[in-house]
Amino acid sequence: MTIEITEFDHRDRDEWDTYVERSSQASLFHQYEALRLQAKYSNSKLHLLVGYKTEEPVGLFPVFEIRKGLVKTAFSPPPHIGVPYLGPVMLDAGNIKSRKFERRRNQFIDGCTEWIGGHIGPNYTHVRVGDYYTDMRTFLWGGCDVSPKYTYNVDLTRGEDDLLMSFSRSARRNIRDGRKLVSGIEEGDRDDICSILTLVKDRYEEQDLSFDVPPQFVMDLYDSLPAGQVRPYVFRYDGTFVSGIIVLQYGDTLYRWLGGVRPQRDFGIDVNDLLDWRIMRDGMDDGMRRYDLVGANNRRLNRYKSKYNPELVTFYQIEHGALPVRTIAHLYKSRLGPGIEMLSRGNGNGASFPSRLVSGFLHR
Amino acid sequence: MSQLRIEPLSLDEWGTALPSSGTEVFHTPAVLAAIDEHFDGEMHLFGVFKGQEPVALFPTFVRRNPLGRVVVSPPPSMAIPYIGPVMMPNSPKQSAYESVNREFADLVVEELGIRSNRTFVRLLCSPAYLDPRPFEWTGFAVKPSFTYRLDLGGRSLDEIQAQFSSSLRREIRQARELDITIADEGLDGARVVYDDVVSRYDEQDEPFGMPWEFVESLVENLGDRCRVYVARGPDGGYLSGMIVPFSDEVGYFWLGGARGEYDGVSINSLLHWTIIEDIVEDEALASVTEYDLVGANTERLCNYKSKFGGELVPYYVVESTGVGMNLAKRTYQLLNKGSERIATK
Repeated sequence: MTIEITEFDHRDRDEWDTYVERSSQASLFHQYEALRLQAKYSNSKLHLLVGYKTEEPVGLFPVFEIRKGLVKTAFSPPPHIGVPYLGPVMLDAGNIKSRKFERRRNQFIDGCTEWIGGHIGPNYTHVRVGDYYTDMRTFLWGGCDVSPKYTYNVDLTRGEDDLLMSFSRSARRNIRDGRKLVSGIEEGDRDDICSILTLVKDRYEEQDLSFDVPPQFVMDLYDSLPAGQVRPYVFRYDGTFVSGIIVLQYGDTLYRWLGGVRPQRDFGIDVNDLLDWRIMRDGMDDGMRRYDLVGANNRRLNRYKSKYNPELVTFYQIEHGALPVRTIAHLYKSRLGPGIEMLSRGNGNGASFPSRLVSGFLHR
Repeated sequence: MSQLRIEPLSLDEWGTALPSSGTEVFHTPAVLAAIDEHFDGEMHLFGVFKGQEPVALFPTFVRRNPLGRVVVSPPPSMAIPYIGPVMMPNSPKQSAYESVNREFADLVVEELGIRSNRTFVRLLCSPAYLDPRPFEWTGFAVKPSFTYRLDLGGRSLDEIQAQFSSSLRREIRQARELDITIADEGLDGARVVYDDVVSRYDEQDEPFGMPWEFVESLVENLGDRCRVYVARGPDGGYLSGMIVPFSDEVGYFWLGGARGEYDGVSINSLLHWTIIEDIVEDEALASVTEYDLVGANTERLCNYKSKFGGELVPYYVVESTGVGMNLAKRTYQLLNKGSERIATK
């Protein structure tokens, strides 16, 4: 039994979103509005692929086509807009055996691969999937380059006291000593998103790094997605913005998406610990099961994140094909400084270029 | 300033430091001694210590050739699917694990001088080593590989068979109706199984680099932690066989099952089932709760192995990158003919 691949367009958006709701693998970024905005801010063409088995929808795969001259690429998620994972997701299938589910998924992937080959014909394909998708063999056998990437998840189901006790001594001390400051923490609004992103950008520039995520993309997500999905948490002192974290909430997961960088003013304790703890407590009250710290690939930042005693979670990046260096330069024109150097010490087969260039987000 | 220090270990010291759980049978002194005896190169065992306490162990195998040095764990052509580091930080916290892991990687890279571009490195890490990031940060490439593991702990044989595909259940049933005996035939059986595998490779014109003497040492050294399941027909003729080493927790479909058609029925499915029955019911194997089908990376073999409904378990391959390493890598791949390459049905 084969799986038929159909491309949806914007008129099918409501139907697409009902399918997204039927997939426990789907993330906030799989929703139609979020996809539309990803396409807009990456200057790409969005293809909404839906797989059908007889009449039943079984899988979804949003694909972003980016062309530079003669070079064609396919991404999911698109590069440089801070989306950690996207790629194909399967609709929930009830009680079918895992073998059967795997076979269905492989058929769906085969169908999508064929569709993408026929309709886009990419020289280079780049997909990053969430941790629900670990069987990478169909990609490996198909000649893709598969690399593990990492994130941290804090388990929010273990109870508030247990969770707090598992934190590092310094995090616990900050949370304890910061009690008099917590009244300054609140859920902010649209303007606070701007303040958070400005602070992040400043910190990046101090380190000669460029911050890729377009602020307007984040604002548009805040405006267009259902209320409560994009939540800026801020810490104010005397009514003035000090620090903040933009949290995404979807399904049973909170994502520590953007922010939480060192504020300008020093309070003697790390106020971001207070923000994180408030976010986790609100999440537990809301029945959230995990707090995804989004990224565990950066050696230096990991020390900060690992103080919440998170679980290391692996997800995969899948690449196929190669790009001429000049095309990479065009695709990633804004950050060529360190990029070119990294490219010049590629691994010889030319199949992959540094994911720092591609994701920006994951590797900072 | 590093708090940890790295020290070479003798095999006895290694055995003392090795924890009883969370390790593979391939980490045991029995298997390492067999490798050391037959590997054309040097075995170097390392312990990383915090004070007197070991916090990480790492077996390495080094060979020099005119182009440079090869540092591997495990060595090629011995059908060892994975070995790599053993981490045993003295705190369950993630931050403690990470600091040990980071320092461990720095220490071994330094000690082995494997940053050099004249040294080819390939580590097949065991499924328990899920955080190869320190090696990535040091400039190595990390790629995933997979194996199938069946969780047999606390489950009845009926429950286990219920997760099999119907065709596998049918094969087992059909094989049972035939007049076949399956017994542990020890070292003599291992020789028959080995010869069968070799002839199967010959038929397919594939080189098979593993010497009998290594298999012999491994089976002998492991003693009752290795069983050799041999199936014979009514006339006593050999039908098929499998060599199965055991850690305290896992049994491994290590070598064998090269063929096994008898009367149009697959004997190998019945062999696997007999192994599973032993793991579930035999008191001597009470601590064993998993059966590892060893390898899920060869497409044409996976259709069969997937019928057992096991869990697909990832493990990581850490490898040198860069120009000049490709030749070394190809040579290594040529040498590393594992048991997985033989059709098992």
